[in-house]
Amino acid sequence: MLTKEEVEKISKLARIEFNDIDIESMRKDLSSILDYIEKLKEIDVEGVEPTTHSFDLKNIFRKDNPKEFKKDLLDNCPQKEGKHVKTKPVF
Amino acid sequence: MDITGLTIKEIQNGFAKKEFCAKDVAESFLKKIVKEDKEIGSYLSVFSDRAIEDAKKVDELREKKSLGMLAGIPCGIKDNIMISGQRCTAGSKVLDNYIAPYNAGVVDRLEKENCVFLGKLNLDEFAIGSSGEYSGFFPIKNPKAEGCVPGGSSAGPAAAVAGNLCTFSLGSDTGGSIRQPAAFCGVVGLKTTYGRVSRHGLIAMASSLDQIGPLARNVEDAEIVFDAIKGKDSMDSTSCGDVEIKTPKKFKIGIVKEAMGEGIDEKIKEGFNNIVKKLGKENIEIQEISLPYMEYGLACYYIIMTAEVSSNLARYDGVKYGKRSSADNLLDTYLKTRKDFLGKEVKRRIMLGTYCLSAGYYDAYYLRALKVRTVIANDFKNAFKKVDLLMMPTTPTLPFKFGERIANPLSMYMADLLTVPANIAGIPAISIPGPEIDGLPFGVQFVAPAFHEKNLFTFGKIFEKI
Repeated sequence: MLTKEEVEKISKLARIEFNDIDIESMRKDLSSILDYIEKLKEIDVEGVEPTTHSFDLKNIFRKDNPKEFKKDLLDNCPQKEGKHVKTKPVF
Repeated sequence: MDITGLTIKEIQNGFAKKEFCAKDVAESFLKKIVKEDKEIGSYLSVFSDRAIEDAKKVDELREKKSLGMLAGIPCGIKDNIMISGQRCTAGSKVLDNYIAPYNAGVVDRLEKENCVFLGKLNLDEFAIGSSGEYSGFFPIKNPKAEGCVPGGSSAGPAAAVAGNLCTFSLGSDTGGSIRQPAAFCGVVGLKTTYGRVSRHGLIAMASSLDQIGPLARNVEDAEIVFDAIKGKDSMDSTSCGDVEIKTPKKFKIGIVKEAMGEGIDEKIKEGFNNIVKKLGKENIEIQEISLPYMEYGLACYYIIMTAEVSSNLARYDGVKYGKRSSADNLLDTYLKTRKDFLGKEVKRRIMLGTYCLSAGYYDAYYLRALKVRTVIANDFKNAFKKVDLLMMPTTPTLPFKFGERIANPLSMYMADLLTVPANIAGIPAISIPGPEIDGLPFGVQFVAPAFHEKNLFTFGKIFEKI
């Protein structure tokens, strides 16, 4: 079973805030899913190569042709100033 | 005549015989959507004006020159696939106000074929869910099974085809999200070979597993749509072109032994066995095939998929697009935006993925899962040395009731038990309706080697007639 502290640490890494009730239910849910996932330890994977993709693709390149900046992209910003995305200060 | 129940071919015949025009078709569907979709909830947005305009254009063009292969055929698109200038939410509150700045590759292709878009279809938030209950807006109902969920995450695409609210739809399938709802709603659903259909403009869930594919009334329609959307797209570097394949004169079908074991409902087993018996009588060569590692598919999937979800969904931080919660500094903006606008199941998967990728756990979970992925893919490769197609039920149970599984995430995940392995191996699979069981839809799944969609269609059409 995951501890409360472990769940809090993950929530910080995942950048999601939780209240105490949510932390507790998350702790319960994640623990039961992790128990199920333990199943994978039954398999001997010694010497097996990992698969990150279904097919063994090599780097595929295309020309990076600059295009006109689309106004629609900026229109989706919650806050902007001129041609810039505006955010809250880091500190 | 009720146009809304027709297949693509039947509508095309109607056009050819001048029984109706594209505008008539679009209007019939729009009327039905207004009347019936309040109850079903399959659409998140309906393009009332655009659809009529597009249909009129098809009618005008028809007089002048040859049209695309889907001219005037009305479709619905899952709302995680972008149509330029239209709202695209991926079923999430965090993208409630998001307007797609460009077309997805598949939308470009359908536009080129003069398809008519009726609107955007409801889904489990970010395509995460197996019941349609996790939509950030409203749940979707199953038109073919009262009180039961439509399955998910392509709940809207499946329900809209089943409820005659579009002729076909596009969904996305990461672990069963096309095939499982297709089975629950009694329609055909195709998960394509990884790379066969462009993912450009699909809002990413788990990039190494996601694939776009059609949901349709029958196998023939699914094939027509597949032919229209497949192919290499320079905007998706994982997409690839056609590969020559052989279609056998007589199909050898493998019945997957592990798909008839633990966790599979007795009614499903019985219904499935009846079909196998029927196939035997039709002189189709059948043998039992064992995929010894298939039972590890779901556990493997829940590591790889959540890991990819946790990184893909990191972008919903309230900075570049979507909703933003107010806070004093940037970190609190992230924390609060994600707290306020992401749903519970989405958070659960981000958390699980973050845990599996975090320092100290990477080797034990993620790396191990990637190795198991190799083992599962090899299982399929070995099986396809003996048979042309594998056959199993699409789902371990019949459609379940609303609320039945929502409290227990693991029981919800089990709904994808038999669909996940094809995504892990990157191979194509189709769900085709079998005879109903206790009045409920039931899907039979066929799985083929990579790039062998054609064989799924050829045998699928034989299967439909049996």
